[in-house]
Amino acid sequence: MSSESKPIFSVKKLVKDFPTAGGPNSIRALNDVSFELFSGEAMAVVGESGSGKSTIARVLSLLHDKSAGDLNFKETEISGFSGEEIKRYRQQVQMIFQDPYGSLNPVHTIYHHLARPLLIHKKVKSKKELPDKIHALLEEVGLTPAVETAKKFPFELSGGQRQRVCIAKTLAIGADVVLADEPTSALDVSIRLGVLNLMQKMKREHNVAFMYITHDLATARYFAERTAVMYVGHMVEWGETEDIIQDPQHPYTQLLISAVPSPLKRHQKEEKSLHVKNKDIPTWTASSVGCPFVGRCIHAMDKCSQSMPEITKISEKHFVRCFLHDGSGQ
Amino acid sequence: MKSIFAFYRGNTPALMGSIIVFTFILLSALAPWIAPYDAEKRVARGHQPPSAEHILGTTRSGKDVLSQVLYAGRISLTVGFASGLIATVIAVLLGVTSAYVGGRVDAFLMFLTNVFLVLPGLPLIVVLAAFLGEVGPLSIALILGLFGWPGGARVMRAQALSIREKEFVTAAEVIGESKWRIVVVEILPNMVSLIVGTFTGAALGAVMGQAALEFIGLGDPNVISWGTMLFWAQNNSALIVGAWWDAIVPGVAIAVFAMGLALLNMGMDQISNPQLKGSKNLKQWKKLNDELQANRKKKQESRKIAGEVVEG
Repeated sequence: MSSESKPIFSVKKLVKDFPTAGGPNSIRALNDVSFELFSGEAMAVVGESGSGKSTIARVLSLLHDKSAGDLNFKETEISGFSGEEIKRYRQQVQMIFQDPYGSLNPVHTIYHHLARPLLIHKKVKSKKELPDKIHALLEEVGLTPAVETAKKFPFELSGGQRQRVCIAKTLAIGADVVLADEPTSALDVSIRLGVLNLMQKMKREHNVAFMYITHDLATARYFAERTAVMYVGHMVEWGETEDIIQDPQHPYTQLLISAVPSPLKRHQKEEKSLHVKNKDIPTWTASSVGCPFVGRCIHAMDKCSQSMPEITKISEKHFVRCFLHDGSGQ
Repeated sequence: MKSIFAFYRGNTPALMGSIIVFTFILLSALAPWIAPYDAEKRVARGHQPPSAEHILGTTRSGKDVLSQVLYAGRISLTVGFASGLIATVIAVLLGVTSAYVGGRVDAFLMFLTNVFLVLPGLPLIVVLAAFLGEVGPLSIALILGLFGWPGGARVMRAQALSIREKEFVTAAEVIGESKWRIVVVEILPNMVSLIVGTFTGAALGAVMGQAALEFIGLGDPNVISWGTMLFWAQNNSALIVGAWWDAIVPGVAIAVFAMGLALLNMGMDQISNPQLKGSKNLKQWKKLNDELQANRKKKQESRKIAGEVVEG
């Protein structure tokens, strides 16, 4: 297994605070987040809106500065990068955005969108090579006939086709790590699979490491070997995707999985198996303490609101942060 | 070609404005060839009314008004477009830099813009022009250009701020585009209609401003422009002695050209705000509303009849 090899990206105890206007307390979007990415493997990050999923991708792609923690890419801390180092880093770590309608500039052709990364990172020796290289890329992502597609403007393509152009961009750069921020959420269900399969191909053939941010557990299960569950900026449970879905340990993961519509349980009632106390999602600040899920958790104990539980190992590759499982509970 | 056609379709103001503006440009450019007389020479007796020989009459000093108005267009249009260009370039540079760089640079540039914005325009220009003495067309273009940008800069900043937040700008940052390339290649092309609109607005202001300055006698009276034509007409009491053509012709030229630019500006607004283009939908809406009213009336009548039946 690749998990015995060295991780390409290693994140330890990452914290990200956003200052709030006027208030003394800043919003803590990420708190104590640690994970590793491996080449040729995908890690899904799941959680509801506002759980900090996208913030991770934005910190990792240097769009936001971290507040604390270690970000090691190929065993080098990335937050001190400047100038040429940033350029070299961008050549290896790329991002795919959620909204394919917004991530391509409406005034430029597809040719321009693919030519720029090739020119910036000097992937072609001369401009003469550009057309051939671009057409090859378009064919690789299944946008044929490539010559015609290159001449088109983004508005002439469908959402799925645009997302393929974005994937072609990351291929053009030859990234080792791709941070995919909900790449299929804005797409029709019928074309999601095509985009997922394309990313699957990149993962296998180009040995790319993926961070797959989603709120769709079904696609996470299809695409990602490992999964991390986020709640209000905290990683509450992580491990092999199958373990997480078949044997969820944290009450929040159980809630998340029970919310997936299942053809076997028709007319299922919302959150039937878990009576949630209230549905309010807390705002986490730098001075908040305890487990963020305590307000909604039916198993909540006194100590849950006093401190965040430590990491408990359920099995070899399955971890959870909950007092129910650390042996001290019940 | 297709997009030009699409632009004018259903956009009457833009079409009319373009026709007017291009006619003026053409007439001024061709002045040396189409003007019947030398504009600076005495070619007839003073204050001759319009006739076959002098279609628009002559001035008090016996110069042909038609020839003068054509030659004057060259100066007035050049000053208008030049100072419009200066104002637009400054507005784009300051507005977009301010929006993209943000932080302290933004605060400083917007402070500067606000200071210029509250300066009373024409009075300041009058004082400046008076201070510099009789100012030639070049100085007028510079003065008007250097004071005509603040409104445009604010609009540019607002537009650039909203484009800056679009994901394609973030995507360009992530692939490692340099900052100036993001501004010039990714953001600016999305602002073309706004930039053209600002330009027509600034040029319009400059043409009017120049005419105003020259009319009150702050310009160089030896230059032939629409403003100085008005100045001389006023000086020679053209209206009082009944030589209306001497004053009306340059006045109409300014008014029509300004209207052309204003119409073009309106047409540009339609591009950035398609709601203004809704004449066709409005008709449909009216039709629908009429039907609704008719139906309601019918219902009321039938109810009335029913009521009478019940009472009866």
